[in-house]
Amino acid sequence: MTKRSILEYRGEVSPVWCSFCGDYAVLNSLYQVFQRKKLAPEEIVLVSGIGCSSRLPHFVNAYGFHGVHGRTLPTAMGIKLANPQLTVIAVAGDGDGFGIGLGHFIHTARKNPDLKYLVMDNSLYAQTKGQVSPTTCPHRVTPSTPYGVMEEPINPIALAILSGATFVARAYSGKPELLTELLLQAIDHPGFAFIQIISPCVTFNPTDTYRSLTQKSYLVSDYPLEDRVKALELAQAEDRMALGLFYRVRRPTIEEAVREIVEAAQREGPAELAGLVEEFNV
Amino acid sequence: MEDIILRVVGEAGEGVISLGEIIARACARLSYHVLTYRTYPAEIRGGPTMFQVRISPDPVLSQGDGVDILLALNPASLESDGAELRTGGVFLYDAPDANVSQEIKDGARIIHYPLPLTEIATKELNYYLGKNMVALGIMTALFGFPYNLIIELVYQRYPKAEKNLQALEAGFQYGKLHLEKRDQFLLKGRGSKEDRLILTGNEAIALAALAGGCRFFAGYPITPATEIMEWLAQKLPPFGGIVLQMEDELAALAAVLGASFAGKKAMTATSGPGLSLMSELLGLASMAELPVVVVDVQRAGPSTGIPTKTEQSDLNLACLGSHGEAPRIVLAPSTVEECLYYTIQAFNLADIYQTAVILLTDQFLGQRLETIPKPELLSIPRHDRLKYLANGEAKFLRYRLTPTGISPVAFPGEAGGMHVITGLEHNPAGAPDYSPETHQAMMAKRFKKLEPLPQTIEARKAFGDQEAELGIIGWGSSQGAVQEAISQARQAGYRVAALYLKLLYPLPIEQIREFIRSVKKILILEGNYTGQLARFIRSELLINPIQLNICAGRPFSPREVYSKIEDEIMSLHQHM
Repeated sequence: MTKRSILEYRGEVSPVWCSFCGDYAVLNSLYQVFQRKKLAPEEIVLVSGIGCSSRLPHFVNAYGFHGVHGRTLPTAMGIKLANPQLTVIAVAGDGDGFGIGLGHFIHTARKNPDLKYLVMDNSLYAQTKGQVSPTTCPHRVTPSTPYGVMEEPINPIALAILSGATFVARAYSGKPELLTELLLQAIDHPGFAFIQIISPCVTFNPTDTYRSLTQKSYLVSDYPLEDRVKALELAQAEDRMALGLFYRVRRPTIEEAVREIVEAAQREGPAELAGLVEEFNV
Repeated sequence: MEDIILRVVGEAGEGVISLGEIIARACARLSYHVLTYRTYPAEIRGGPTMFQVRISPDPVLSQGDGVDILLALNPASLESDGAELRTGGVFLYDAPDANVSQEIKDGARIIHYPLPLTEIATKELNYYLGKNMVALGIMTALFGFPYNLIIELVYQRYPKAEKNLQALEAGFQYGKLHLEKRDQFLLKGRGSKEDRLILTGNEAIALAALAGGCRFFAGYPITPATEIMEWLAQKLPPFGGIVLQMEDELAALAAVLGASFAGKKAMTATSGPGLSLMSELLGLASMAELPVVVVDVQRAGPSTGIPTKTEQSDLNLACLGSHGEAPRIVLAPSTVEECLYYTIQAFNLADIYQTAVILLTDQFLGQRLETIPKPELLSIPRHDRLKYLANGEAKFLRYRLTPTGISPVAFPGEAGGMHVITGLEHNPAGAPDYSPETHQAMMAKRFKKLEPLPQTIEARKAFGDQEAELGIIGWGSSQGAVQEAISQARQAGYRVAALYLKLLYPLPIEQIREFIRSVKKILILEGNYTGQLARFIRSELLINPIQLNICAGRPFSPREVYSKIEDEIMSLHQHM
């Protein structure tokens, strides 16, 4: 395999994010991972929905599908099933992934397609200037909750584990080496790999600063990664800033299941259309 | 034997549809042409169900009017269905239900056969559910169906239920030994053997999708479209394809668009509520120029409406649904045979024009069985997307502005073709671009590429007289009723023509204009309340057509179309 330069993966469009946005770290980690895995740009597909982080595909020299708000995962699964050779990476924000598109998260996890799903979580809707998101803490004042957030945030790590995701991790833009390391592992994982990436919004979120997040963050301890109970216990830690790989198991992917069905159906050779028409003979 | 309408009525769960389908298939096997029509409740058990077969030595165009043979498994609709029996008709009913009103008994010379259906099923067989098979056995004896053929068809339908064959036999014996034939109907078969198929509109669409190259289907169950997904789920894998049932219609169309981006011919099928949910993604398909075929088997709306009843009320949604202005192609077949042709065409057009193609059918067409000539599916040419060849000549621009508006594509995995598709307005490279010039140019590109379409496909079918007094314009499944009404009108000396539109978006304006010029008066006929096509035609052609709309969950009958023709031509004559 030829050695590849990191510059090969730079897209022609320059990032439109604010200076110091956490999403830059994700983009940089992706460039590094692509280079280290020697992935050909034409073999990579980045899929996204709507939001600041969903602009990411435009900044990469690869194939990209910047689609509709919330529908990132089914779109990515359609691409992967149509061509399982591709490395398909779905990227979303917490609004796209945990708000409007949350239902697809659960259903995609249980199907276990070989997708990498990176949710850049800044705990608010940044593209629309700072409203409450599904991961915003209670009582926080935002433009759409001037009297404070009334509901509990969701727990994406616990939800992923319970929904059947086979690789569940949390990373943080403020710790780019760990992010890159987890991304590498996710790429190597054959199955649905979900990484919640805490990615600070420096413009609209004055609370979750790099400083406070770095203080809250700690690495998950060593334990058997297939231990679902332990993983869930850790996922429910109050502060929610444990970083690292929570859970990893191997389970057949939906592409494998599809291939099996197709191979079994074609055991006696591919079918002929003429035979199908005969079935409708009077 | 000329043209018989046989109707079975009963409650959901009594086996009305199974019985009716077996009779339809038997008649098709006996070389008759058949067309079926069914209405049933949305509930799995209970509620009136009706299955009708029209049987003729000649091709059948519509469900027809009236009834010749009526079997009532249940007294619920005895009166209303009984009233439709024609003179000389046959009325079979379960003996305990024999309290038929004197009016029906005397009304039009009708031959009555009170039958001990429940008695045989329960007392002799201890199998109440076998009532429909007892009735089938009796009808087999009465109308002369070859018994072996019926046994074969019953076995096909119920391979594991020996009891059904016993019930059939009990009925058959009763018919032979205890029933004195007093009617004139015999369905022994025609000598001729022609190569014909019997299938529903939904089956035709599924079969043609496969023939048209579809290898990826994602969907969500919905009445009355589910059969398309179920058939393909069984048949796609041997062809290397797959069906996925998704969590909702949003996921279904999203997955289909993903597969299309990756180079597959892909499809979903739904009904009105599903199409409503898909609207946003349809806009994306138009904006990102992704081929996709979306079937809408329309049912009565709005909202949940009447899930099992037919209607033509999704035209506005199909043509205009989605925010902004998102051009797409909308096709409307009228017959089961046309479902085959226009489905293959839909896949071709989606790829040629790189946009969404919506195929509009309805419950009546989707769930009716029809006998059709055996099609040469493979002889219909197939078209694929215009591909970018990385020959080093020009840099690949996914949305390159070309004279036709069609830009070559590259698929993920192909070197040199990397690009990002987006629902944002974009420049030829695919990068977000909000400049006034770009938006104007790209809107024009997406609309202009469809302009030649009305001239390049069979956008309409015309029937009837040149220089007609009355010209009917319609779309979809009402075509057969209109054709029959026109034949009748011509026999009565009226000059009538019809134009059936197969391409509903973009409308073939010039062809409609030409038709309008050739007739004195225009009548637009639609199975919806407001006249959705009429509104498009009125605004595009500045004419004020007469409308005939029904919105009753049933198809048009030839009789009501004929009576409208008569009224309108009379009034035309009076005004002259």
